[in-house]
Amino acid sequence: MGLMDGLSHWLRQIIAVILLASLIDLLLPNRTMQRYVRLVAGLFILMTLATPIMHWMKGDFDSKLAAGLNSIELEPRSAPDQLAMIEEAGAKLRNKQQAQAAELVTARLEASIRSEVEQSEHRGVSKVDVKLERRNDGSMDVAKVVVSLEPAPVQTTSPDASSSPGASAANSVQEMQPVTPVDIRIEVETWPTGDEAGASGGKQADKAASAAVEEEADRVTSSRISALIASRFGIATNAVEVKTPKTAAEAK
Amino acid sequence: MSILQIVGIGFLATVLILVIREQKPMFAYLLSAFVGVAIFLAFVGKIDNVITVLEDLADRSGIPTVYLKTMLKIIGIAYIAEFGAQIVRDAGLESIASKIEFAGKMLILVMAVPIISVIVETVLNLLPA
Repeated sequence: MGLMDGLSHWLRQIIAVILLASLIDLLLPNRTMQRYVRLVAGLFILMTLATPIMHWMKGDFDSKLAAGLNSIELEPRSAPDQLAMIEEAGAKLRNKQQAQAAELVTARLEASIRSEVEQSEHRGVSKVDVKLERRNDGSMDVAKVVVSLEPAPVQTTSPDASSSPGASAANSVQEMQPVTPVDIRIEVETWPTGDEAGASGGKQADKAASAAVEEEADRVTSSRISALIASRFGIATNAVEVKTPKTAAEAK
Repeated sequence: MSILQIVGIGFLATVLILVIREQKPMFAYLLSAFVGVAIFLAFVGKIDNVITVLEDLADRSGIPTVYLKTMLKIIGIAYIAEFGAQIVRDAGLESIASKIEFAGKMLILVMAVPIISVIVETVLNLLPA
């Protein structure tokens, strides 16, 4: 009976496959594909006819065939494409992360430079601008640091210990000057005397001299700040630019 | 939709296309493509019944499911390739249409590769070494 069962199963399979093939032949849209589809359908019928032989030869041809057909379904050809796509997405994410890290580093560096400079100079810092540069090997490097100092009323009130007392005194005098002439001029207008002309001329000369002193002081300050930043943060001094309010105004 | 409606739509579209073609060939082509897509989409769902019958048949007779799956895939490839090729052919680009058909044929043949390899292996095993 086992033989008969097997035989009837086999016959049923053959009939079903042939019916399937004829139905599919009927479903086909046109003649151009017909030959190809007939080839595949014929191969299926052949497979079904040969099933007993194949089972006799080796038992697992069904699973082998299924694996082969499924591997076509999975399209192994597209695997490199997908890999490339994944790698591309990874590179994008990495770039984004690096950009975020650079932003964070810039902000931190700006904040710490600002606090360092403010502590050592006793002077307000209006803005610190750090520019990062990407090296060829992918690491980041500080390309430029721009420190913008505030106009320095802070400096006059606080005697800076680090700079020479002469410079600070000159600075304080120079700071006073814009205030005093205003007061005096009002008096000049009320009481015009000959002495005032000479006094104002002296003040003009004073002003020019104080401008020179101020420039000198600015230079000293900027070199001091550069040295400070270089020693604290390991940034080359020529990458540090200090903008005092005066130089900023001149630049304008 | 009955067959009368489909024939009516087809007839209407044909007359319209014939009228428009003189003035605007571009719109005539678009109209024909659109009508083709509409009819195709309206009736491609009906194939579901046929596929159900086929699945039932395969289930009862105990043939491996991969056979049926592969056959259905082949039918799908054939239909889609044929459909695209005809739309392109309507625009008069015979060469591109034949390339689409070529791609469809290639995909169908790729389906046959595992079957052929199994058969060839068996036949080689049958022969005395």
